[in-house]
Amino acid sequence: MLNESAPHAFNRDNILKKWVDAYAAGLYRRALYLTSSQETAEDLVQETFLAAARRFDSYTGESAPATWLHAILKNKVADHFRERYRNAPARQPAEEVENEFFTPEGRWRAEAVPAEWDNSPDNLLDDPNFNQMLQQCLGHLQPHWRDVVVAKFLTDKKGPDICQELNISPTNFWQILHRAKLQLRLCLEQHWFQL
Amino acid sequence: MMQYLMLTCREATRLTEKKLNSGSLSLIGNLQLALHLRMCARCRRYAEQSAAIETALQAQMEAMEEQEFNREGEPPEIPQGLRERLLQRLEEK
Repeated sequence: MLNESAPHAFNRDNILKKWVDAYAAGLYRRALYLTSSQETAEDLVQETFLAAARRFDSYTGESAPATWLHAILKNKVADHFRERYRNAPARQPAEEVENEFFTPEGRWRAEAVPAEWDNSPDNLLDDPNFNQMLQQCLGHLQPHWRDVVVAKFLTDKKGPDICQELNISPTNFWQILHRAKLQLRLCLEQHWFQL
Repeated sequence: MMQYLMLTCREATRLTEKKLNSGSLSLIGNLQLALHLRMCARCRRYAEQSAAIETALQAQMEAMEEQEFNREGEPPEIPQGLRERLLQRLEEK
């Protein structure tokens, strides 16, 4: 591996080039998963490598390069979310979305009642189609909502701390998450379980 | 008293998400949710499926990192020209 010993600055550029070949595709895939935008994903991968170049001397080789690069990428994605919310604070999500699922009394609407899924949830993970559909359904969510669903995978933080990261109030956070999950679940049910 | 403990399905699913994503509810919240889920098969189903979705998301995130180490077969797709653009950016910096 490249990380047997602390790399020296003089071979930095060569190592970075090798890392591009070895890890860019994986980083890109993950960025795409987290942002559902090809353009944003590419920008974030570029920023990741530029940051890696700047901070190269602080890379001690204690972790594998992939681990180090993915950690940088996660920070970049979190920055990207923060930036987005600074410029366009999370909108109060439309009340109507919840009303598509529940009656004014708070009961499930007949057409929104969760159906039984054929596969037991335990088997879902082994199904590549399910994984693909999950990714697609994430992409169908409006961006703010998708961010709230994936944000917790960027840090070890739990819900309340993520609110701060995303610059939204806890109440708003739980509302968005609730609505996002209602839609995500429904999307999976409609597109995957009824193939 | 009972009325105070009774949740609507809307509230029960909201608490389900809160529990899944923060790991904890208030004592009263836990009690309210447990009571509701005991009585409501629809919300029980929702809670199971929602938990399964969380597990799947988590597993996908981990799988993406692991693939870097145990890559088999085709390398993952990369947009055309991204490699070249990356190398160019690194040259310019």
